[in-house]
Amino acid sequence: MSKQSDLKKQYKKRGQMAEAWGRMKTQPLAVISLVIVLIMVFVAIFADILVPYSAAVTQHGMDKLLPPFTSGHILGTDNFGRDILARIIHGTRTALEIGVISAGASIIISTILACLCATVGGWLDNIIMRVIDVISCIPSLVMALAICAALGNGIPQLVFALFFTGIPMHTKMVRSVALGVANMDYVESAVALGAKQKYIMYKHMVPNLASVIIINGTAQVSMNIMMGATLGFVGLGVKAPTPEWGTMLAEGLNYMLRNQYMVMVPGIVLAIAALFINSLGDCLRDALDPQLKGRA
Amino acid sequence: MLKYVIKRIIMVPFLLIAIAAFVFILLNLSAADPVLMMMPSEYTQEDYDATAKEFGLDKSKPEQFVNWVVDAVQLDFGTSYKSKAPVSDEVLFRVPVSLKLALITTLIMIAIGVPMGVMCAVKQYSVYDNIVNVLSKFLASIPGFWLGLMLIIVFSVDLGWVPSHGMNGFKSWILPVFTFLLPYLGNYVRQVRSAMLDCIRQDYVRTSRAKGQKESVVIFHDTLKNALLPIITLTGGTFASMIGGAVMIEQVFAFPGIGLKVLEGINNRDMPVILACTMILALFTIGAQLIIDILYAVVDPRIRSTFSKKKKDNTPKLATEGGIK
Amino acid sequence: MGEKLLEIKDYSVTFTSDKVDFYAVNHVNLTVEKGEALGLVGETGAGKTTTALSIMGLLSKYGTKTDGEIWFDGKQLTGMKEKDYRKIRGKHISMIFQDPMTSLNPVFPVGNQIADVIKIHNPKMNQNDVNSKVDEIMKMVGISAERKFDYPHQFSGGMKQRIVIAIAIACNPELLIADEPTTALDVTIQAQVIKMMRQLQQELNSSVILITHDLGIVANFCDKVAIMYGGEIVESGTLEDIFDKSLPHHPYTIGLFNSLPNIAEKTERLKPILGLTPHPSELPQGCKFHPRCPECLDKCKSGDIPSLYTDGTHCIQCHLYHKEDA
Repeated sequence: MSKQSDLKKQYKKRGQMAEAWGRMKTQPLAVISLVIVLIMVFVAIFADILVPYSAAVTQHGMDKLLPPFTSGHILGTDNFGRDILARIIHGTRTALEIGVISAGASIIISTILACLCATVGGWLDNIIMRVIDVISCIPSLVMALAICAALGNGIPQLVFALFFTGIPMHTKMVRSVALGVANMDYVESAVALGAKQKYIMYKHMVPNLASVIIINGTAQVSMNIMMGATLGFVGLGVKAPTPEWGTMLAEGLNYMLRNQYMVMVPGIVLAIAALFINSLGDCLRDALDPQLKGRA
Repeated sequence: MLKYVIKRIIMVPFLLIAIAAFVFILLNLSAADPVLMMMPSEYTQEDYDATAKEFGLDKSKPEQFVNWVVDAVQLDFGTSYKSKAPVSDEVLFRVPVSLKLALITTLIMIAIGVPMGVMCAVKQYSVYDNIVNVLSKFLASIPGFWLGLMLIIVFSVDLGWVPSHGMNGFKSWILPVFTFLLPYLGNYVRQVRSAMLDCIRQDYVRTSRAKGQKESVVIFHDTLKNALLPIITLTGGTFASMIGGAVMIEQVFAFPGIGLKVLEGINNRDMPVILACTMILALFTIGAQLIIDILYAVVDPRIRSTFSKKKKDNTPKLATEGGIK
Repeated sequence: MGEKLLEIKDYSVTFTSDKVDFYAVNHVNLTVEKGEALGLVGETGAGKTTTALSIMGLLSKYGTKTDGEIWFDGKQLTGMKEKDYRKIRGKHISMIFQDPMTSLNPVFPVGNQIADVIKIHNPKMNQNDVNSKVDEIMKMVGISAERKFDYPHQFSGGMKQRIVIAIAIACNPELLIADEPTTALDVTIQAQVIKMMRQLQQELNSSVILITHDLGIVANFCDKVAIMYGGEIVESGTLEDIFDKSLPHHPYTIGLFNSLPNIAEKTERLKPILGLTPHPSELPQGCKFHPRCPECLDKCKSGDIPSLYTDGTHCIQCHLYHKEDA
């Protein structure tokens, strides 16, 4: 019957992600954010093709402290005569590297921890949660500073510091979602119907956790980029000649009064990056969880 | 209720010792030998041993830690590796500065953020709501320390209205407080809005309207009292993260608070200073959490009655961990 | 009886969300006379609650379009200023909501919530009088006055519903709208609550609109019945008109009665109405019931269906009973 096929079409099974994408497409802000984030990713991947690395690090020009929009240097040059645009481009790579790797790692580890807490429960849950309680009493910036100080400068050390500081919050959040889902009526009814553990994990846990993970992960990336820059600004984290937005800011500090663009440019780039990654995260949340739309 | 609070307060010292142990282990991960760092370029083994003995660094690590705890209980946080002065003298007088900075900022944030967030929720999807929404997203994305630099350029250097650094007089607080406030305010307004929206759609709000209640009373009395619970969590959480964020603000404005000192300690690998400062910051966080819990019980009668029977973990929906969304 | 208290004339409500229109209520006409109990019967999504909220003036303004008029006691409610409307809500018209669990504010003692409505409409009353009035009302709904300092979470569902009712009747309203007041309650509690409401209605001599999908409660409580389907009133009349099986009925009404288990007849199976309630965004053309109607005619599928059968108080909107000469 035609009616039946109509119904079938109407209820055609669509994946969670496909549906979310369908919702996202219609939001101009989401599309803009996505495009800008993709541009950032593109710049980060092809940084070497866009500008040679040496231009950003070692190639010291004769023209020092040129203001922006001078011929050959759109964003001007710094106190060593290095092209600021080149440093920004390679800084994008550094920032994304730091942000994505550290956020990704802490998401993976904390999801594993949270799932252990939620499924095994008991003493394991107790121990993990108590340790996390202790750690989360230390302000995350202070902890990242301390770790960087203990481990020394360098990108891997910075990534580890950010990875570690991100764990407590995620573990708490993922655990509460996992426990919440486990207590939902529909999971109970699935258990009552004799569904296998594997089925419940796949059918109910994963989709619920996936949205939390994606949303928090995006937020964490922008937070880590920001915190990485903060650490760079105070001289911890990334080592000096490496192009990084925070260290660029710190270098500009001495020239702040007469060459304001040296502070202005990296700050604005950092703000734009944070703004659009955050905004992408918000749009993802709206798309993945339409019930929450327009709330937070 | 009282029992619960006392129980929590009794737990605080144990929590602090655990935190201290954690920080101690963390700082000892560093391969650098602190005694070596204090030595002049040329030294004899006797000098080395003497210095090690003076700072108690000749003992084993666990012994060092136990000694530190015993001293810390008497408010003696050891001697700074760098300045050789007692840490408590260097640190304790800074506590009120940082606390004042965070408290003033929090109060202004509540005073501005709550009414703004409530208005956004009441006028959801209006032009006002959209403007505030975009503005707060924007504010939340600005790096605090960079905003501080920009404000210094405009208001201290160009206009000369307020001092750019240091702490002398009322005027010197203006820039730090605003730099501190603005990035947090963005998130705060949006979260107050969402807390309010959650409540505004509830049936009891409709009941209140059906009574013939004035809209202003419906919003500010009946709805806001329910939204207070998440707002308290939010405010407490923001306060706690401000305590950490103060590091940057104090650095940018050369403000003599705990944050500046901890940064100094970290740069000098000065362990007693770092430990003392971290302990104080952690104590702030724990204190904020305790106040949140007590306020919860004051606001919500449901929690008041569960407090006497159950532990906090048994009310996961109301615990703070679910509140961040 | 005979004096009109509430009159709804050709009233429609359309919600718009994401550019889709939801036709929740379509050209409804209703009258309620003083002291009368009207039962508004229909499935979930038939537009009963929307109609009730329209009378209270509590529909959300965002994305809502209304058309038609509502008159109450000689005053037009539609288009009334919010300030004047507030004086009617709670005092002259009040409403009992469906879910007592969520209808009470969890952070205030129940006594305060009852006192609120008294204070709003009697601003000059002193606190002592308010308190004694609260005690009196709590006694009326069968809750001891000592419990007025308790919070909603300390009450059971049935007790909460009594408090919701207490709030609704606190100012002796002329019209009481009860939106499925017993749906969320146990059957035994349902009977108690209905009995209590019946008593209160007689004591206060107020009119009641009882929204329900339970024909048993209607038979117990109401003088008049209106059956709603797809946002329209398909049949209305006195209790006798609707419940008398020898009279003609709308096929939907017949379906409703067939879905009830009957003690007198020994049938193996119930006869449910086939199909599903149409979604308010995709109402069918013509008679809203025609896709599910066992006696559907060609002309049912398009055009307006006027009230084609009228017999005194009884009114059916269906082509089946169309008399050429009428």
